[in-house]
Amino acid sequence: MKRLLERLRIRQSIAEDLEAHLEEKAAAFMESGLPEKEARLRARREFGNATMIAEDSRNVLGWARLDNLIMDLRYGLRMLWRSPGFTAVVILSLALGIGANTAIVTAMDAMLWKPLPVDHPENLVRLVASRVRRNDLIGLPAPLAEALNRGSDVFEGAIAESEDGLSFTYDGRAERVMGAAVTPNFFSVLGVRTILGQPFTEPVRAGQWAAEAVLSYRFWRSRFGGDPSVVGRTIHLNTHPFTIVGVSAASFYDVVRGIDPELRIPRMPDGQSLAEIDLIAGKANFDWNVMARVRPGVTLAQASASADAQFQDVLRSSMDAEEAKSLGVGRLRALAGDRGWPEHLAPFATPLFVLFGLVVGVLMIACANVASMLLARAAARRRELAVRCSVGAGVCA
Amino acid sequence: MSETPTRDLFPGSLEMMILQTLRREPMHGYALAQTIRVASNDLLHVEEGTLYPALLRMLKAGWVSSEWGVSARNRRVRVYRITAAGRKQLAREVSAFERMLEGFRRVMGTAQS
Repeated sequence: MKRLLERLRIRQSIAEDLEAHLEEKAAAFMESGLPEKEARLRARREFGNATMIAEDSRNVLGWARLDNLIMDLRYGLRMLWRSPGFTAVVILSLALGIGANTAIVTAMDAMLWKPLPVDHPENLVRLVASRVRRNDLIGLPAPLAEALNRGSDVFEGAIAESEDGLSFTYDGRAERVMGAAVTPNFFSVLGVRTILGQPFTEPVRAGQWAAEAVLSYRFWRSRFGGDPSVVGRTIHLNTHPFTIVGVSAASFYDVVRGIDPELRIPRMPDGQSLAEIDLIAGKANFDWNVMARVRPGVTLAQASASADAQFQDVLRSSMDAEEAKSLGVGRLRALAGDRGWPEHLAPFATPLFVLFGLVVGVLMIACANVASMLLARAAARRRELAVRCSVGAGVCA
Repeated sequence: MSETPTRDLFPGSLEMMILQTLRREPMHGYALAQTIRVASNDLLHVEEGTLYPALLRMLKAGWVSSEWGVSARNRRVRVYRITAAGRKQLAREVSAFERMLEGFRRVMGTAQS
């Protein structure tokens, strides 16, 4: 360490040392009778290229590459500063190319790649049923989620969700909103917090239904102006009165990518139903997105096997064999659920990739333009470089 | 390494001369060049472009140390001083050089007879 500091000090004093050397030399010539001006001139001539000597000497101590890099950078900045027009054109064209790429990649990330804004999305699996000669069935019966939610070695919990349009009335004004019916444990299993109120009241979470609604952050802002006293007010959904009990976190949209339901209401226990809203009826209809949280370390194969066993039970108990057969459903499979259901956004994936290809192309063209401009400038600077070399600039191999 | 038309010296000779000169007394770069020139009876001129990189190489190797001092003309200069490692190195170099010279002499002598 001490030696390193010593070396750093010496590096910095080399130029000074050489200057002193030069003066000694000039003084010696003066003592031998030369006039001062001539003595200095002769000393400098004999001495040679002081900058190069200092550079060579410094390089002996190491950091030659770093030195050169710093000098090149400084030189580059100086040249850019000297031709602001050129610099502006280069920066602008690169900025446009990079900006377009950033925008598209951000959009792709938000739409396709970013995990769900919930707790530990990596432990989530979404369940689909395979069918004979048809696409996987995404809509499953809600009792499956209830069965999986009873807990096991494999699953910590499970939720079901289904959306539909509802007529929302408040303050004498009616509008169409998207409502999501969710199993009452929806928020606690996903780990989605509320910024106001609570994610359904205790009795509802315990399985006793009540007409409660949790607003989405954006609906709360747009329809209620972000009013903090909104909890406890009554709204009407399809004319049935509901009480607002909470507002969900701003970052949360849904477990389905591409939708953001205005509000969430609890699904009714099996067997119960509400005349006004069929969406929340406690039936075993195949309309629910079912997502489960597995215990850490559980593989998709284990989750699939365990969920399938439960699924076959639910099929047997909640519908007759004839009905199940007509659906043609086979085994249940667990898929990674960290990104939710992408099906809504699937049609946008291809255009996004095409767009991405386009903006990459634009960036390439911008780079090529900048390269050719630099080339043209280099050609125009041949004279300058020749002069620099002849007055003693170091030559890189 | 020299202005008068002479051949290149063998590698390591400049370091040997510097160490030998510094062994007598510590001095700064200019005085070092002058001393070598005078001692060689003006036969050898050490160029600054070679001297300083050599000095710094030797600093790095730990054969010499340096500190700020004052020249004969009362100017602030960096004074170089030989270290114990430098003395050892010089002794090693000199004995190696003498062996080489001895061998060279014998070869030349044999060829003559």
